[in-house]
Amino acid sequence: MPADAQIGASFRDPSGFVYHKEGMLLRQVNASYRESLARLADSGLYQDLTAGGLLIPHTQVALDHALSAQAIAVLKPEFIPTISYPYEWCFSQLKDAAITTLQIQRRAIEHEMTLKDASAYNIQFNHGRPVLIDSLSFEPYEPGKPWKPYKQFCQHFVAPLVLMSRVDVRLSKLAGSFIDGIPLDLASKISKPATRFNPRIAVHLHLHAKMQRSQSSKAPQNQPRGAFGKNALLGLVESLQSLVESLQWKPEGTEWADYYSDTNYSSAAMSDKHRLVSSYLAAIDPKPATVWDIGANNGEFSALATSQGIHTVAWDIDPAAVEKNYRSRRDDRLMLPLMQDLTNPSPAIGWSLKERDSLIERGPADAVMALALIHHLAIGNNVPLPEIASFMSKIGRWLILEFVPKQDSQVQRLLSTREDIYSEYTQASFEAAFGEKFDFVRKEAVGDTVRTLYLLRRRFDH
Amino acid sequence: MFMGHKRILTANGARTLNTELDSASIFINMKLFSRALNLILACGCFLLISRSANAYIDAGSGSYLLQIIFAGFLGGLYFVMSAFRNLKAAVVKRVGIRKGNDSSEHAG
Repeated sequence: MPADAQIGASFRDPSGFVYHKEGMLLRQVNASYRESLARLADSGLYQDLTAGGLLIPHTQVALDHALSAQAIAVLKPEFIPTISYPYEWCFSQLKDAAITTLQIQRRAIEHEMTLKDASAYNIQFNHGRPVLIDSLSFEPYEPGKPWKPYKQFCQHFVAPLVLMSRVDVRLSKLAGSFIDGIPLDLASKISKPATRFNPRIAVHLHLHAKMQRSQSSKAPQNQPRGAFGKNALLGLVESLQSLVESLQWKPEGTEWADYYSDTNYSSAAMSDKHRLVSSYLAAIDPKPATVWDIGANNGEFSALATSQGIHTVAWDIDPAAVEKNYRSRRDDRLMLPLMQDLTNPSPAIGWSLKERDSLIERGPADAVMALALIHHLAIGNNVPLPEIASFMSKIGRWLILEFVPKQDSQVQRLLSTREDIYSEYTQASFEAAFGEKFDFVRKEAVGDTVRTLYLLRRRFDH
Repeated sequence: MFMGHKRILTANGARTLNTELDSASIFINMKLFSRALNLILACGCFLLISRSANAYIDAGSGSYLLQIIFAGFLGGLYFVMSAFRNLKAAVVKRVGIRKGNDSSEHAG
């Protein structure tokens, strides 16, 4: 159970903050947000957004649960099992998050309110859909005023989507280096050769970046003033949405995009592996609430966990594999495909390294599946087996692991381009290394292969 | 706060020049001081609330100016898109009704 404390990411907005108290995740609303909170409820906007699945629903709890004296209300939002970040999303996830933000802004304007921020971090995936988690992101609409978070929206959504779509999908990683979104001048510089003649990108990215540069030295009293009617505000949403919708990316050509059509599994082996994984998942007691499938590719085996009613995060390094998983399983409300490079996992970032949690800080999952992965870590990345065992014990309480021995054709493929310095990579060494951290619960050979599937239980949990 | 108090006493004291400060004038001074204090606090609170009601994020002068430059175009865009959507909805409704009538005729 997390200690009673304010969440590290929740300090910028004076309207309130999120914190843990008595095992609950709560949101304190401060006095400065009184009018906006009342308007959110009275205007019908809260009802409209929550009914449409665009805003996380909350219940109001007693003020005794507040963390400080400025509180005027305490909200208890619906629990989201996994927090993810934009630099872990595939192209379509970021695009859906952008469209969700614009839909919320449109509905807010219809209710005489507006979004006062448009951070991608305020969007999370819940039940497979993007949803706004910050109930304090609204303020009353002020006639004549432009949209304050226009710049933030372009930095958090337009810039990465343009870069991913028109330059290289791997540029989504830039979002992890810039906590408040990718600077527009940088995105403009990188993408200009490919997007110069696209009128929407020319305005919202290139001209926008230019205007920022030319106006950056203006003192506050010289800031532009002028009428920006409600139709203009709605037109801005319309224009941004048509830009976002026009951006496309086809998931192909990456290293792992066609893994399952280029694998050494026979159909009998594949079917036996399915059977074993399902039976191991069912054997975990108590039933896991969350499974992390690391190296999940397109989520074929992750879907075995969701079919047992378990919320499953399908992590993979490959943007195309994650994209395919997301697109093909939109109706699977328990599946969350995310990008993750296990050789360099998401670190803690932001102010005081507390704003965005590392991969390990978001664990441990109740169960981890690591299928056909260990040879990539041990041989592909030279990680010693005891180090892999230690890492696995940090991220999961139970572990379903497929050991792939040296004689397997996939390992031989890895060894074909490097010297075999991996004398320690044997099944006996594997069992010795993992035996330090885990108890062996089950061990079975995968039919028609030289591989073995293990069910392991972390030792210090019992 | 202290300076304000001092000024109020001095200004009031000018009107009662060469007269002794009796208990009534002290009461008036205290009342004026209290009102001024309330006013200053109220202004302070208003400023604080106004400030926090403003964007806590940097809206950016360039981003503001860009929106204002394109305000007319964006307003027009919204008008045209709304008109197009309304027209489309009307056509779909009409075609839907016609199709419904056709199928009911066939059914009959």
